[in-house]
Amino acid sequence: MPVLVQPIRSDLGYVACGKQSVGGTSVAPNVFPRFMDGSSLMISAKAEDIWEGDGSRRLGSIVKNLQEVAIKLTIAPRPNEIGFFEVMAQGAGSDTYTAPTVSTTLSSATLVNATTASVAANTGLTGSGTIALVLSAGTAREEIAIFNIPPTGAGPYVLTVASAYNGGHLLLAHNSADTVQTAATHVITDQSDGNYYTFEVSMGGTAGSIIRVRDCKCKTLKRSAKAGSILMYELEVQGIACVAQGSAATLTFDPHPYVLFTYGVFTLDGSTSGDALAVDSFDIAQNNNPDTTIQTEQVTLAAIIFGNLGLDVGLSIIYQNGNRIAETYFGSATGTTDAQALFVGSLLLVFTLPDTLNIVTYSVPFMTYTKAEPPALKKDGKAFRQALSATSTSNFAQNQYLLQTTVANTSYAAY
Amino acid sequence: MANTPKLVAARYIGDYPVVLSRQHGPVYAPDTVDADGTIVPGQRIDGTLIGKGDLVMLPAAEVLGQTYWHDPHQQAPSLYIGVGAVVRPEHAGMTRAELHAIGYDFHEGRRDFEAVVAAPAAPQATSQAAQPLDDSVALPDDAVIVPDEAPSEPAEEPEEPSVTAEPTSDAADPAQGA
Repeated sequence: MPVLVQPIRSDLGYVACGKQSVGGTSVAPNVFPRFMDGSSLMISAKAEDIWEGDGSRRLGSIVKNLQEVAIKLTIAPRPNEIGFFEVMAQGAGSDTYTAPTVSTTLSSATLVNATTASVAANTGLTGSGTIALVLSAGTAREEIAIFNIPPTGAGPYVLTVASAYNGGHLLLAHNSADTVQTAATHVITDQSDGNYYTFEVSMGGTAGSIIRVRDCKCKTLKRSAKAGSILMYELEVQGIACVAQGSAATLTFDPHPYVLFTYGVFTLDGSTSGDALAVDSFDIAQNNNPDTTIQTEQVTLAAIIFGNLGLDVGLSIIYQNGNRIAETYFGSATGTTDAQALFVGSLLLVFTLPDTLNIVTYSVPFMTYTKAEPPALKKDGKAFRQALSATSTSNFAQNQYLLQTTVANTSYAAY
Repeated sequence: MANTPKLVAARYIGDYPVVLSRQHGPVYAPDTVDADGTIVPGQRIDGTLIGKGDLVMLPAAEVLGQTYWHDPHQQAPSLYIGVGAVVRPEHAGMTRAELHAIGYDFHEGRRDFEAVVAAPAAPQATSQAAQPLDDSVALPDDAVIVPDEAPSEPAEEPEEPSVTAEPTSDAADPAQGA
């Protein structure tokens, strides 16, 4: 009887990570994004041929000079994960955290299908209209619902569920004293250096390899989406040292939804009309250009630091006129001949999830268009598409950041 | 390192609720004791949503961290010292910096779980939950717990849980390569 090989499914694995409290000390991962194709672990060794005069013409030996490890991760991040990975990319201390404006508790328990909720305080609830509130945040009965404000009563205060939310009824039951909050806000901007993170990559579980990599820093992060699809993050990190693990981590997944392109509103060069309505895909690509040459006593790196920051924006638009070509190459939208002046614009992109509580905003305040590709002619007669490229600059150090990512979510502490 | 991880009761303290994956087999809640004193086995909870305060049986190393020793010159094979921050007896009393210098590699536990070392008020915890670890991972006679030191970043350093260690299976002395 032939002995069959024991194949391992290529989806039996994970890429997980955790933020280290200090460089040099690994941490068991606690963030488990759902990996997608394009995720991998790469270990590479630089070796040196040792040629010595030993009377032969044969290679004597090979010495390993340096061993490096890198990880690629492709995910459709959830709002809470977006904050985590943005801080990883933007650097240490990049998260300016603002506590929720509404932070109170339920004065009494609510049942499934309840139409009202009684809260202890009305701070932040005295306006009019509707407001998205998360009840029982962090618990298994967490629910983001929309309420009418202001509440009634003199305390406790009674909030009515807005009819726009599940017909005016709560979906879950909540306990008395459970929290009632608006979103936390994380304003994340680029910093001089990054935190160290531990990554753990399982390739086949214990039957294959589970490798924990300490002291990783973000090399690149590309945020992108196409019309009708989902917001994607492609992350590449460089690590320092590996340790094989004998058992797999307990995977815990964020149950919140991913971000759809259709949730987005573009403001391009200060306008929400024109080309802002014609974007059919975008990417915001960040390169931290880390120094990965710091090697001392060991065959692995001794440290990693961020280098110069590169931030490029790519847009594909449905071509409507020749303005972009004229701006980029002829000096202005009305230019007619070659000119040195480059066109400077901006990008503001806001994704608001249907719950209206989770919001992701990307702001590139000052970007220079470097390419406005004339669209290619095609006999099929379909619409022209135009690729635009722009690079974010500090405008002679006047801007404090190249990219500001603002995340409103249910992570109630700085990343 | 252990291929069959020892489990400890841990409390979820993460920011947002999470779904326990089924990918690596069953995950259970800790046993409980009912009013009659009968031990009620913990329910299987993989595939379910858990949130703040929920108890889960997790591999000890995931919750308490673990310790390795690596040859600082990267010539000798590494050693798994045990669960938690532990060192060989001959290295007791050394500072973390000194231990790092001779090759100790302390891994911290997950930030979104904390070890449960005492029985929760209600429901009563079982013997499993009431003890920090079961006997199979009790501190060996020759292992020494590394005392906490002031963290370099207090705001982010989770409080160290009670720790213990797994017996070292390797006979080699970590100091040999140091």
